[in-house]
Amino acid sequence: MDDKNDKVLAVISQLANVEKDTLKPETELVANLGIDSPKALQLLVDLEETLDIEITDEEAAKLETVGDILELYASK
Amino acid sequence: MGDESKTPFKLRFYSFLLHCLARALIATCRTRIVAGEKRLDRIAENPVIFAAWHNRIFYFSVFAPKYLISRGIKLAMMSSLSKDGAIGASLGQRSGLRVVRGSAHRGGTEGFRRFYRVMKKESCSTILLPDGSRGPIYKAKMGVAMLAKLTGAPVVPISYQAERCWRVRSWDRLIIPKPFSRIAVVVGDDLAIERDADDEALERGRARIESALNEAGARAAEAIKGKN
Repeated sequence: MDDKNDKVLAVISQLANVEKDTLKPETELVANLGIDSPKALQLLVDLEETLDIEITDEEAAKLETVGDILELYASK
Repeated sequence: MGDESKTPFKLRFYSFLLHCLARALIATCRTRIVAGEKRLDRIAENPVIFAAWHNRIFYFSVFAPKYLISRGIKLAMMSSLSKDGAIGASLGQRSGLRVVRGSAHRGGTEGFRRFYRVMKKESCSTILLPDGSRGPIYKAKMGVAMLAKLTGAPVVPISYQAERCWRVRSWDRLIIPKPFSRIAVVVGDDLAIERDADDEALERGRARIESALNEAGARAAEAIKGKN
């Protein structure tokens, strides 16, 4: 994982309270990490603040896995 | 977001009727803020999250413009994406509130994100109904606590009791004060939730919001009975 992805994984691992190394692109945010609606709100806010990006409502609705977030960040 | 012109005419008409009815009815009542009135004077500069139980919304739709917006408080409310929500949104706009559409069920995260932006970028206070939009009654959901944590804005619990009232047969047993009733309003103490709160601290914050709202309601009821 490069430095860019590392920042994304740091945000996710801190929120989900899991080790960064355990996060894989196919890891599901809800089923595997227990990120429910209130936590999803924090995840989006934390991602925007930490990575200095803006995530639209349409983009947010499509985020289901760790890989989806990495892809989104790469596209910014 | 909150565009009145996109609301169908029938819904706008219903909201107009409801708005007039609420204002006319509440105008006959005597309101007394029995606790926390001075707190309201310091809110315009520092946004807060007002929290009220869902069944208090009829009265607070009149209370908000008269006692909050008149103090220079910029106030936003969330309204669900349903037809009922459209009426609520239209009613909120008539009362001078900024309306954010969304709910905990459909587009909940979206609605709360919009709320978050409104609070952070526009220094807008918000009024949220922690047991809405479908209950169970008097059970606070996590959204309010999470919004407090992320924005750093304190939660201000607010409740009231009417001397005499009707109770609608809805899930929340909506309260409509009867004409010429005395109404006691209680503004509770600030509840802050730290930005680094973990799951347990967040749950404690949610529970504190729930009990503070029940305590505010009980205190208002005591004031109506003349104990306070």
